[in-house]
Amino acid sequence: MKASYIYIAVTLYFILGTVVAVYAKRGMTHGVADFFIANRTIGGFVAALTYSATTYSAFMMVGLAGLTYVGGVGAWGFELIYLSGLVLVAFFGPRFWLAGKKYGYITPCELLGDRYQSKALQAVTAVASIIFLIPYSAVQLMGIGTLMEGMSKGAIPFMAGLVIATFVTIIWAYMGGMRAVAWTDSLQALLMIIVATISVLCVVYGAFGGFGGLFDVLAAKHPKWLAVPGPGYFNMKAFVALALPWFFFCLSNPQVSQRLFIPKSLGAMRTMLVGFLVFGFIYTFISIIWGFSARALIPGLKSGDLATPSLLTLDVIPAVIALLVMVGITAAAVSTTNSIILTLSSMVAQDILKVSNPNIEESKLYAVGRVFVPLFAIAAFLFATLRLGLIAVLSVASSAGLLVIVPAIIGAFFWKRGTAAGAITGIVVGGIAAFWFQFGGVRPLGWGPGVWSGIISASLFIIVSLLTAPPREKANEFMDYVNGALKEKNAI
Amino acid sequence: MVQGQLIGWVIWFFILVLSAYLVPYYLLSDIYKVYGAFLYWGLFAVTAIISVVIITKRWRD
Repeated sequence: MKASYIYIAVTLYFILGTVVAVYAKRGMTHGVADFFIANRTIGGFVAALTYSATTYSAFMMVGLAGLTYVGGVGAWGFELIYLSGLVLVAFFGPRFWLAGKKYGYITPCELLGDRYQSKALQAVTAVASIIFLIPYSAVQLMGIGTLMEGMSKGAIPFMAGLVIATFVTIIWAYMGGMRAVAWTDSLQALLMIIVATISVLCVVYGAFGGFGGLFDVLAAKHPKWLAVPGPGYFNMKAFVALALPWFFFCLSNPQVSQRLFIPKSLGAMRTMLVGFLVFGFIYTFISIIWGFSARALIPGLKSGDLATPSLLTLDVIPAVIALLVMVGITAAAVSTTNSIILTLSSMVAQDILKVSNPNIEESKLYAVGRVFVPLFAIAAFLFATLRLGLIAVLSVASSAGLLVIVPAIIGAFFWKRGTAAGAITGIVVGGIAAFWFQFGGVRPLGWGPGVWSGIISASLFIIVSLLTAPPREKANEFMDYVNGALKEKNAI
Repeated sequence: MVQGQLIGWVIWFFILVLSAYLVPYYLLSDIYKVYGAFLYWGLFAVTAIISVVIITKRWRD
């Protein structure tokens, strides 16, 4: 594909997004709560779309399609188990929202720090999130660079794609904080799902005559791809190690758990949750069908990562659709990355700066937090340019690594005996174990880091908590308030 | 009442999610058709979504 077409498409996408961002930031004040969580005023529809765009990255149409290509139907199961993990939002969403509103929390780390009465816990959780999420963001940027380079057959160098992705990531978030991110996310989510749907219909009806035809071809030529363990990639242990940490993604990843603070009402949160589930089911189905189509049409590829770029070059997909798919994948990566970077910036302001200097003026917090948007994006860019193997390891380890925060979150709402010492020990030791197991290829009893990091952090959280003194007064006050308010709102 | 409902839903989801690990691997592992693991996981997800709709329907603003 001609490089000029790609540049034009990306420019149009950027202009459209910027118009939306300018519209969204009208009336924005220079307050920290306004910049980072839009003053808790986001409506249900926009909340659902920003939640969707933040959660679903370039991984879906590239990585998940690739996993389907290599491992078959197990990819569908793994991703739907993740989706079912959103039941946790039905329980924790109202709790986060009510506590956030009552105590003025802006980040999930702030909630933990206040509940366990520990500034150290607040800072440790923020640092752990930064360590795991910067490489994850770098991988997203690298994905755009690789995609543009591949589609233009090298006419757009990897570095040019990287610069474009970083630039777009910075601009909207820096301009209008959460308001701009939420609205541009909405635009991007719609773009992602519409384009993906059209492209998959082109492939399925163009090449197989319909979904029945596709599954007939798979059953005849690649039957193992329709069962698990199937071709072998998704053996039971690998499946559990992948699916377990992803089940807790909505609590473990701060860029999504922070979104539990933003709806303007519980009704809006309900729309956000149900809207996301419907979006997620459709987008997962499309990504899996995309991977199955690649397996049926081009079975000889060396790696699953090549499935999407190779499929886009086939005649069944008109060039203009292929171009739109590329923009859709770019949108998926940018909408995830700028949300992560905005969340990490809020953590620097609220969980590190404010913790170290509680009397700091809000205007300074706002200014510093905002400056960290480009700084984190540039850090992710620099990581991406290095193309270090370590980045990939940290990125893969991120789901297992962030899982270590979950026991402390559950304890905050359900276990008065939990302590900051227990939470910190679980997060630090569990996080180190996740990285070590991933980096060193350590698999005790054959189970991966996604299983062990959760077991280690939960065990340490419980044991150390039982050996140390809990903040009884705060725990009672916090849980009594949340439980009483839940009753009032008729939530369980 | 609320506590009882919470426990009931937690048990329901535990069984549902556990089935998403066990059924495709132990009962459907030799069905190489679209109506095997693919259909089961699809129905599992739809059931989870409907359950969430039921839980959140009663929320009051």
